Amino acid sequence: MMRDDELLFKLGFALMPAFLLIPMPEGAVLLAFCFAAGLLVWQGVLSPAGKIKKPFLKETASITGLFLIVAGTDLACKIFLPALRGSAGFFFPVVLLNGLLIFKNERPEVKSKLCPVFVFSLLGGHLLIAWGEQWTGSVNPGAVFLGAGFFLACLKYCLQKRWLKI
Amino acid sequence: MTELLLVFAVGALGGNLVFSGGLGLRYFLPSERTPGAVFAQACLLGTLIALAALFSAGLDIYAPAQWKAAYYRTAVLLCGSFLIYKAGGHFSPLRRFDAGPALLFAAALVTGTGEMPFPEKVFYGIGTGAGAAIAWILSAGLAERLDFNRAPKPLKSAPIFFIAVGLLTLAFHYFAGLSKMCF
Repeated sequence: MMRDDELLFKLGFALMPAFLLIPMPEGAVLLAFCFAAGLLVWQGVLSPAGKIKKPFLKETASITGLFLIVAGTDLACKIFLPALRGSAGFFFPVVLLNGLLIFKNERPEVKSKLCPVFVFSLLGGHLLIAWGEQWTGSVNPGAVFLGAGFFLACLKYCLQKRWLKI
Repeated sequence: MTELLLVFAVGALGGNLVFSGGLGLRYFLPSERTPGAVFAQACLLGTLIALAALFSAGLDIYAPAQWKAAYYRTAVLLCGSFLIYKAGGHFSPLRRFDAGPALLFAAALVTGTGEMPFPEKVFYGIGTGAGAAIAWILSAGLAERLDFNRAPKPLKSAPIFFIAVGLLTLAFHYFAGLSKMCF
């Protein structure tokens, strides 16, 4: 599998739960912010953890950082932003964890390029879903998958044309 | 018994986390697509999900009463799911599958929150695991077919995979009615 394809798969796997399990666009805004902040904080945790020699301690430090980010973000949102957290839905910590885990092994440069793509795709996709819901009442998950497939095709075309070089 | 089987079917087909939630999707590389390997991995993943769901259901029964309102529930379920996934990863090359703990965590959350009695939670958890296993077997077959078929260049690999999964999801959407029968 080529590198571009792998990144497209990762982007799709991170985007799909965010489209399907976050019920409202306001929740998507919260998720986008928390994802970007979480990725930054986890990179900050991973950098010193990378200097640890023993693999077990290294992995423990990395996973503890991830626990703290996901559980802490969920708790902080429940306390300080209860309305927004409510609109993000029941699966908010799951989607956040999923996104962070999928981009875990990427280099910081790739993360810094993929993060804005993820955030803007998430917000744009949610606006489209909300618009679709106005017309049809509810959008079928299959239609969301199809839309994501065509969006990734456009992105792949952009990658081929080097408009967006990762 | 019929009710328990219905709950199992809801977990496996009606509320399939992979197709209705997009969690736990995976593209199988050509070297991983031997039927034995795919079946073994799917079975292991299903078992791990069922274990995570049972862990959550057990906690709901045996944990103190303030558990349901407590904020530490997310942290405990997250930690439990991670440990179960890491323990299971020693038996199979599931480590390549990055989003595994998120899938287990979702199953634990869903199972723990429902107002079902314990036996129904057990069947729901096992059904969720079976649903994920079915989804993995279908995804591997899909990836195999897509690699040997011609597609326009911009649609190759990731886009066509998601479009095909979208069509599968449309088919699975018809099982969503099972949830209405059950709950």
